Amino acid sequence: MRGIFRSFKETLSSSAMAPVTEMYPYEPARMTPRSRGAPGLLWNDDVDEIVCTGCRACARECPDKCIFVSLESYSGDVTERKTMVDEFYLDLALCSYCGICVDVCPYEAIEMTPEFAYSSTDVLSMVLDKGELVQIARGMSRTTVNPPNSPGAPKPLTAVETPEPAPAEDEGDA
Amino acid sequence: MAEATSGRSDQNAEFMEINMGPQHPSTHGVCRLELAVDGEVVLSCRPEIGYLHRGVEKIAENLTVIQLPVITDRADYLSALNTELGVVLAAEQLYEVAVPERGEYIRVIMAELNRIANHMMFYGALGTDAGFSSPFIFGWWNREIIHDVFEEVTGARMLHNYIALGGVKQDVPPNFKDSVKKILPRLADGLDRCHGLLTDNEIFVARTKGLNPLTPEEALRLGITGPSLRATGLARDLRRLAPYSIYDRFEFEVPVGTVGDVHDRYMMRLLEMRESLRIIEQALEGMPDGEYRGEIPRRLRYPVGEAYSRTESPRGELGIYIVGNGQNTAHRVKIRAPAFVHVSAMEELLKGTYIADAVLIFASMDIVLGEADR
Amino acid sequence: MSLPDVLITILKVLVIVLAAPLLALVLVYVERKTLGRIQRRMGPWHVGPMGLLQTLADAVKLLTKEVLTPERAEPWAYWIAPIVVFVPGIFVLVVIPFTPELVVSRLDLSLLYVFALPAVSVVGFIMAGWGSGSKYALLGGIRLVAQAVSYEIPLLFSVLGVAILAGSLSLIDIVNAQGDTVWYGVVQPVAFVIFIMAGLAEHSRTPFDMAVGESEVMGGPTIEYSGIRWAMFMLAEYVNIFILASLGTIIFLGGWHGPVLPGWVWYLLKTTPILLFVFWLRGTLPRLRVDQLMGFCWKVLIPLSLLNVVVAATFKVYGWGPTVPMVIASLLAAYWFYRREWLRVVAVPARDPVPVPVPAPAAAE
Repeated sequence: MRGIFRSFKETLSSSAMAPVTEMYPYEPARMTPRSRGAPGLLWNDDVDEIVCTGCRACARECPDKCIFVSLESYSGDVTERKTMVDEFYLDLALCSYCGICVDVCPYEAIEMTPEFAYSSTDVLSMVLDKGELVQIARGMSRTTVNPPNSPGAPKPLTAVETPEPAPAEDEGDA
Repeated sequence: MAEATSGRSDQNAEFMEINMGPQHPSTHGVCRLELAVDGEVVLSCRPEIGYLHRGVEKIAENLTVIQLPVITDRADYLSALNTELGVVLAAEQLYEVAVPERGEYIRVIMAELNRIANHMMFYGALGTDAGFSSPFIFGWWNREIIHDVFEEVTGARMLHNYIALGGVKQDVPPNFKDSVKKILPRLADGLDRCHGLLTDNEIFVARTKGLNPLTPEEALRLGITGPSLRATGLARDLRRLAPYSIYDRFEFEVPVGTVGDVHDRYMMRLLEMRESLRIIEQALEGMPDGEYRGEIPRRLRYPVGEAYSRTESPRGELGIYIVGNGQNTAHRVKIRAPAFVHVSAMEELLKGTYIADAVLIFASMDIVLGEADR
Repeated sequence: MSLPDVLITILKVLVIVLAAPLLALVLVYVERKTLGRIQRRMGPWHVGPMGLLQTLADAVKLLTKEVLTPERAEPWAYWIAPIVVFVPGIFVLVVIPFTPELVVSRLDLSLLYVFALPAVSVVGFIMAGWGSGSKYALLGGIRLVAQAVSYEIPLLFSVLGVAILAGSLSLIDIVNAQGDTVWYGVVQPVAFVIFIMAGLAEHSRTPFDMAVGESEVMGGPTIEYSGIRWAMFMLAEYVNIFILASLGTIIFLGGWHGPVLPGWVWYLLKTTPILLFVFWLRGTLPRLRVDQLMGFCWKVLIPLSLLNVVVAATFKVYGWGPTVPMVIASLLAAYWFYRREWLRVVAVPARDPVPVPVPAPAAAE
């Protein structure tokens, strides 16, 4: 009988405690700076273009193969680059939010955003193009992880293959 | 009753065949137990798995070592960090990578936190199978506390992909020590509440004490490992016997049971959580500053050779076997999943029990079907 | 009986029939809130103020859902079962005296009536269990019938003492008799406890809910039901719980009697704690096993309830003098039975811990 009374005591004392429920749809979800939601592309304000150079390291290392990048030749005068990212597609329906794309990116151009509420009945709408990815990452910065050159940070991970320079890109970007 | 589960119709037989699962609420996922019952007594049981088979091992053969934890996380989703630790330890043997001190400490803290989270889930599941929903929620408050810390550190709540070759992926946030220190008393308090709700409850004791006792010999013969084996009185904990990572530096007890019944198995988990709290406290004290990830080779091709790591996952002995052949992807990845062995032990364990007890015995082995099916 | 009387009776019956579902809705809400409170959740809160309309919304959903009949079902048994289960509850409500005025039918044998009729619903459950053509439903049905039939005996014996004391089988007379002297719960505390326990088992509530236990038989006889028919099982369950609390109030706690406040307030004040206790149990106790349940009934409850009848007879014949020792004796007997029989734990001889095998150097890696 003592054990049963102890159970009663426990449920009584727990019913005196405040509920732990989070009112999620009515209050914003609690996210931490590192929370991994949809990946987004960061914007380089200096050149008014995405940071991404199109080296395809993320597309190669993605375990789900959910990233597609294509390049176009560039002849403008904002930067000295010869090519620019033409199309950048990311299929959120495939993405497993592992964050490897962020780890392998040599230019810190992609970042996991806390954005997670984007479910849809249309699978195709889960494929985000460049504009949408930039939109998601708006306001994000790389303050959440160790900056590449800070003490304790490892050398940036490279792709499995020899880190060949991305096709015809030069060091004129951020 | 060998013919009981031979697949023929039970129309004119002395027994009734019942499919427990794959949608049954107390098969913890999608396991199916083919029970032949005579009234309430289980005559024979045939566990059927594979409903959650995703081919984790085969997929892992097509992944690089960096991508490997992504898929092994999905095997044992309730203690993903422990699985990651096993995988990465095997990979580190292969690559001969050294791990800096801080990395080791972070790994241990995270793995032990995950052990507590997993055992809290066990507590809830066993309590729910015993007949009421409160233990489930009691366990989940504590699990939520841990998951909040996980999200702060790794960015994910369950499938972390955090422990990586050479250490961990990111350093812990600056307030990590404080936030873990803050949750430790809360977890201890939550553990006390869990004890109070269920441990001494006479109905629960009457249900579980003396139910399905196992001797160490039987348990070893069935391949049972982990807390369920220690419940039989055999103090076989790999953290103590074959210390991996830095577990040899911490002071902790290996709780052992006396009779190996369901109540002992339950108590092992709850006592282990206390020990995990102790380990975390010590690890927080000893955690040095410095690098959190060691030098890793630039070219991450698998060296030719093989490596096997065995770790004490919350469920039992987790073995990871990797064969490298000089390619980007491994030649073979094999997971020795404790849950798989435990499911196969059900055939013997459930024989002659009541249906109601069968549910409890199944729960007491702490089975995660993601790991069993892989 | 004149025409107006007949009309009034029909009106009263209509009120009862309409009140029963309403009652169930309220009780479901209260139960969910109570469980939520225990488990530090919110319970229903979204629909209506404080979630008050949640159960109504659930009811509407159930009413509009498709009613499925399994392929293997026995159509007749399957169809009729919910009605057989639901109707006795309403019939019982008819004779329950909430206050001296608020009672539809003043039946002289109402005590017998309120225990005889619910026994019919057991037939409904076995019909549901068999008619569903599902093995889980059958198992649940068998369990339910076994326990309901067994627990009817202590349930009846526990109120038999009260009937002796009051010298009547009319619920109204029983309440009035308590108004004159003392509540029967005081004279017969063991009977009161047995009554609540047997009542919980009779209606398959925690901790005696193995007939409908989700983790074992997944809802038992009702597993295959959907829509309105499932709702009828649900209604029946909650109406039965309310009847249990009502009978507890009427038989053991003096019904509407109480100082100052009007009768119906006292009635509610006494019923609500019993209901809350029943809901509290659901958040606190695990489920017994079938054999433990039956052993508990036959080895503990039935002997105790028989003893209790003797206590009641003593009180009736000799008054307070010998009864006080008898009450004490029955409490002691209850304790003895509890020590001896209740939830006996299977003893397995403990072994010494096995010495830890010394790790071979190779194993230490």
